[in-house]
Amino acid sequence: MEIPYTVRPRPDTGLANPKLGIWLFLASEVMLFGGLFAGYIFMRLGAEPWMWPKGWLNVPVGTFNTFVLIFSSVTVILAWESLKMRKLFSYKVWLGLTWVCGLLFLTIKLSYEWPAKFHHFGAYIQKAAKEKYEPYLGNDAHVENGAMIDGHEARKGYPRLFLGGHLDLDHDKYAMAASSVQYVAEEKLDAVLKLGKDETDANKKAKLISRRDEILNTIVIRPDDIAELKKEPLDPKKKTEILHRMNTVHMHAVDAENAKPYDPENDKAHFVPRDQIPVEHLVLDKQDLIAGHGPLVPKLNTYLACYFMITGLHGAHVLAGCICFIYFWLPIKGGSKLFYTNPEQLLNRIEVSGLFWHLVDLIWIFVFPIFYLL
Amino acid sequence: MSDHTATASHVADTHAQDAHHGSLMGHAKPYLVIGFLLFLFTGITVALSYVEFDKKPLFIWAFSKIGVTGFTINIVIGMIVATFKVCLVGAWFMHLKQEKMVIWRPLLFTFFFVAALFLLFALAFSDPIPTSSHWHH
Repeated sequence: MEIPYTVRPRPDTGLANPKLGIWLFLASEVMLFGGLFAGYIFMRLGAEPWMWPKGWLNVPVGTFNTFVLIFSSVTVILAWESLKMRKLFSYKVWLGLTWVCGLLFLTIKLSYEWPAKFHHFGAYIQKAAKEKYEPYLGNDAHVENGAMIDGHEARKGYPRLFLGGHLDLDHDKYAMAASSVQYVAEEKLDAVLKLGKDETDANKKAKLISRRDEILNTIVIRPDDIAELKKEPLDPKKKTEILHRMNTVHMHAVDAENAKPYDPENDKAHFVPRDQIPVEHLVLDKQDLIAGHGPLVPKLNTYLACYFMITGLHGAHVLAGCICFIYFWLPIKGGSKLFYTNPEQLLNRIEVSGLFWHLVDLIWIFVFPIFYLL
Repeated sequence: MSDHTATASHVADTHAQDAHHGSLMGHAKPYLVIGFLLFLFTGITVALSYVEFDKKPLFIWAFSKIGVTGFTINIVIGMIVATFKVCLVGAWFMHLKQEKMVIWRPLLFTFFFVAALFLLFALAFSDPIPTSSHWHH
């Protein structure tokens, strides 16, 4: 079927169909992201004074990515102008630069920014256990000094409970994976190990044994520990050792604000991210941690959930834009070959995809300050 | 896929003739200026986020008039700069400056509803029943 009015304006609207179509789509996109931003700002303002993470993202990298995206918004306009002037070579250069910038943006995000979060450990300490970790949390001094955090006086009711840093990954390659496994009580492990032990029916026994293995695989990370636990008879000393390994987190370095919790620098924003400070074997007992501890992934807190959700959705838009541009750039029938048969239609395609690209840029203009700076 | 190729190529030719005059950079000048402004204001956004507005008496006074205190002053200022940048992109890059009413009309609805969305969330902060407020545990 031939799509009508792809180039000529429709008499009643005065516009070619793709243009009206893309604007209606962009309007729905504004509503989508508007809802997400409104939700985010609501949670940001509603958070207890010093509970909202600040300085978790790398501002110089975020700023560079903002420049990349703005630059690509300029190049797509230049591609469109070139096409209007019927300069094919110039069109290909500018459009090529546009999608290269888009891919550069995504590469930085996916190969550097996101993985940095996955290699960082974070945990919230249970209020009842905060005294144990006081040297890293520094709540008492804040309260005694009547310290101001974000313009609010520090109060006993809202202690700083977050502990972040790096795990001893050099010594244990399973450390990060094990860190996100929640506390396992000895009785629970015993119950799991008992599964299928006294069963006489072979069929039922097999089922229970496979259930046991399934659970062990989710609560014990090291394969050699799993093998050890399955041994009969089980060495009680080994079991205690494994349980201890499962239920503790060994930290190798902590974030600057945990290393020096009384330092007024903690309450300032920093352009260059501060280094973690090595610590002598800090062991966290998982019983003292609020569920969800582990790498900085969405389940750790609301900030990360919003961050990954919104930047992920934005990233998907960048990818979609790049795919369109590569298609229009390649010497294929619907791409730059269209220049020879129907240049005006190619011009329309670039205008419409360019409008989408500007919206992607526009969303980032909001994403950047609210997540990286504020 | 094109409708009436003859007409289309006619349109294309007139367009091409219009555009052939002058160099690409001559035509692109306004866009380059806007691009430069966007770069500049990105730098300004970053710089402003490090200013402690909640310690500057003038800003404390001015923002207290609209009930904004503490670090929220920085958030509001950051959002104002971002909105300005977005207006630049919309007006020049997306050509909304000279766009037809057919496009403006649905967009005005969108702006209205997005603003309503933000205001609805803002209502949550003015809890009319003091004892139920989530600020006091």
